[in-house]
Amino acid sequence: MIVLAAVRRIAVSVVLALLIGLISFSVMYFSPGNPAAMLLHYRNPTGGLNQQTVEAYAERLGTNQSFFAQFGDWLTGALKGDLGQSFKTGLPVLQEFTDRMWCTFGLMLYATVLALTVGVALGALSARYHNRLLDQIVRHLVVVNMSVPSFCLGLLFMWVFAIELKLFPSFGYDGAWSLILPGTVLGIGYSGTIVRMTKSSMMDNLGSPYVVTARAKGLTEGAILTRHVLKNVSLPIITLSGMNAVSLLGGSVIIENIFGLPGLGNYLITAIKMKDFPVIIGFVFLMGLMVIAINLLIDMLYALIDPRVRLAANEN
Amino acid sequence: MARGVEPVLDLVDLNVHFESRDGKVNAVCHANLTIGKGQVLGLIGETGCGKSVLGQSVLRLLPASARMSGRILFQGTDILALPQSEVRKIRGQLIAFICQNPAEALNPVLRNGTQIMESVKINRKLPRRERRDACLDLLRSLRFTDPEFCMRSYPLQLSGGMKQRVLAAMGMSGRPSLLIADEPTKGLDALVRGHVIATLERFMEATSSSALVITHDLRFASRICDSIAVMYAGEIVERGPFDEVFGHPRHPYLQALIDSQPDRGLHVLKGSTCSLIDLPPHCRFYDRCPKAVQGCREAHPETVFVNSDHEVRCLRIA
Amino acid sequence: MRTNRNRLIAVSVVFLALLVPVVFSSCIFPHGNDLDMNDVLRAPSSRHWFGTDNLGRDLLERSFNGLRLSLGLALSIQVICICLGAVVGSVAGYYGGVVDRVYVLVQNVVMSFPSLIASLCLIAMLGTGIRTLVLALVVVEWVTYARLIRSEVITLKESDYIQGCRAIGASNARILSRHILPNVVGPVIPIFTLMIGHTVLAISGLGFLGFGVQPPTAEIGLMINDGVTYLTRAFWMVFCPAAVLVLYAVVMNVFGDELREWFNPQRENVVL
Repeated sequence: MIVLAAVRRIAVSVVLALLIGLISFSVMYFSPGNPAAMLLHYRNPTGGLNQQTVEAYAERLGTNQSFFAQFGDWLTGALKGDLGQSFKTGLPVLQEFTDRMWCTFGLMLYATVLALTVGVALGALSARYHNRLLDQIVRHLVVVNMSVPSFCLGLLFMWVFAIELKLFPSFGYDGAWSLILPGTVLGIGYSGTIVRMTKSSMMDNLGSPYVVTARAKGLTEGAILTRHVLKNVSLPIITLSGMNAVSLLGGSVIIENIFGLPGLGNYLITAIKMKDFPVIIGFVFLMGLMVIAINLLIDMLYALIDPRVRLAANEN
Repeated sequence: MARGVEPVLDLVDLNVHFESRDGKVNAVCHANLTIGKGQVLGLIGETGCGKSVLGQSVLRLLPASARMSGRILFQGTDILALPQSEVRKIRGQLIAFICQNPAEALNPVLRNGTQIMESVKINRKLPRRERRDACLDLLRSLRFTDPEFCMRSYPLQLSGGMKQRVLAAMGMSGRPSLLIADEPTKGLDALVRGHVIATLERFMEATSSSALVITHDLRFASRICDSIAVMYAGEIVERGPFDEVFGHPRHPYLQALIDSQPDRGLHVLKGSTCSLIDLPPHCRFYDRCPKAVQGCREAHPETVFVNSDHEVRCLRIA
Repeated sequence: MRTNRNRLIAVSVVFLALLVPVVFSSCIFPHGNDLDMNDVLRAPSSRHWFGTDNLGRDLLERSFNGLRLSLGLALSIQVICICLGAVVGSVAGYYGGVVDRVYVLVQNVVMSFPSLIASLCLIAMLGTGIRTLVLALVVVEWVTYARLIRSEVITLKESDYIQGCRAIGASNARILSRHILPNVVGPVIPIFTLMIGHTVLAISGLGFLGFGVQPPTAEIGLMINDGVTYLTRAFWMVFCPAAVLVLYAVVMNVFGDELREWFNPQRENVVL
């Protein structure tokens, strides 16, 4: 039944999460440099590296154990919610994550809503006025949109709206208003693919036999759009939004960096530059969990709308 | 057909062309058709001859790139001259249309019941509670053994024949005077052909409608049609009562079509249809015609009457 | 068809013309790294079309130098990805079984994780520099080709003429290399062009964050990053190199789209 399919899906997700944890852990494990020495350096930047102290630290951190022992330690900790402490601040990694995740979530949510609104609207209009002036203009705009990297657009918007026009803050986080400009940049960047997908999906659906049947029944064009076409058109857009949401996590890194927002991406960059390993491993793992959660959500939404997926799952 | 009685459908010099990137596609040229009350007209032709376009044009179901001219007289009213809102009133209510390829003609993400109820809601003014019963009755009349299951399930859970019957049920919900069935046997096994015939007969019995049946299946046509019209490259090349036309086929294309049937020896007609964009000025069948003469290349044939109601478009007959 | 071909030719000509100053930029623009402390932060003028940066370097010359580097790197990365993707994708698609399932798992893991973050972590682990940059981008992008080639191989291997090859006793390796892979080239070419543009943008993104090409080498993302500090005083430091980057990305995307249209034309919905 559906329950069985869901359970199987969750099991697969757990395996994936473990895999991501393993990969990120091994990446850090095999990277050059001695974590114990680094931690010591953090605590006492000016002092020298006493070999005994380094070994004592290594003992405490457990970094002189084998790979699997260390991974085991980390994993048991992770399952309990303890992802270690940041080298730099000493605070629990999990706390650093939760402190910052709302900022990033807010940014991602706003960007997604904006991208969908703009993308679906322009895509639907392009389908309606196919090959006319509006469609040509939108098509060219989309090509330009997909060629402008997010940091260029971000800097342009920052310069025009924040610095020259002084409408928005250009740096730092001061409540939701600070998210508007960066969120808009991010959202616009991702709307290009949505425009294209919406247009092609609408044109495919509007030309299909079930629409002819619906018209032959005597339905108005409006009723056909809302009651018949909408659900079918939204299916590929939902899948695309899922993929976009995952990309957005990466895209937010650059935007947070430019606008100085205290989000996950910005902190990760700092951690990478400072070689703050517990943070890097922990953040990558947690972001992996986020990605898995997003994918699960998208799949559930898709199955809700499309009975073919639900019933095929039954048969399996 | 009794003269003096207004025909249900009368196509007068119907032309349909499409604007496409490669040029003007002439799908239907100078088509003239008449269907009387209670009659079944079969529109025969190979893939791409324009018969589906003609069928869809009656209810103006073609895409926006289509341009139509001529007259489509339904019970005396010219459908082409009506505003969109009036055409919508005719659709489903007075003329029923069953799409080809039942597998794709139903919306895959909506339940069958929702889609049937939609038809019933538009075509019958019934309070909500009675609508569901009306749907179940319709399904029962089409020999559904478990109409409840059909209502709450999705199209993918039904077989091809069942989907066909669901489409028929939607068409029957009004009281149509005309049924247009586009390739009703396409995508269905030959075994199911009998069921399709039964479905169509039940439909016409229940609604006392006439029918325009579009098909390439001659055997199917022979069992159900009173009169036939044969299309080739967008033109109607032969027309008349079924027995007369089939008994004495005059156009070489129809003769070749009949000869190509399995029970007549499967004599294949070589070549393929001419392009609908670059139409030849002479007879469109000339390149493939086994009986062509020099004169056939010089002029475009018009229709001539062989009998009182048997027409042919062929220069050799003129 | 005719309009398609004319458009493709026109776009190709423009593309090749624009490539000339980039490819030959070491000859045409040799002064990209020349410092001139008397000439810092000058606005665009007839002497310096794009102005100068905080170390007096001509931005026009630097932009093209940087673009040349990025383009060269992007090309190498794509070539490596195609080779890797072709081998893995065709083997997984053709032989199926366990190999295929393992590949699909790897593909899902790679594709489901944000690519920028994955590249960053790899660079974090291995240190900055051109070699790690190339590796980081290859690891993230090879899956695009593997996925495409695998699905093409799966479709092709069931086709009649391949069955025919098997019937006359051709070995699997021969079938793969001689018969299947040449047919995969068609869909790959437009993707290749589009991916080059995508990779150039990725390189500049990493450069902007400080994880890509390192100073003093000219690279557009790096230049833009330097320019941010001077955004209020000398905005041309940011926007002139950015304009060059966007222009070339647009041209590459348009070229890639035209190629894709040429190889798989999208037919209009005409009812017949």
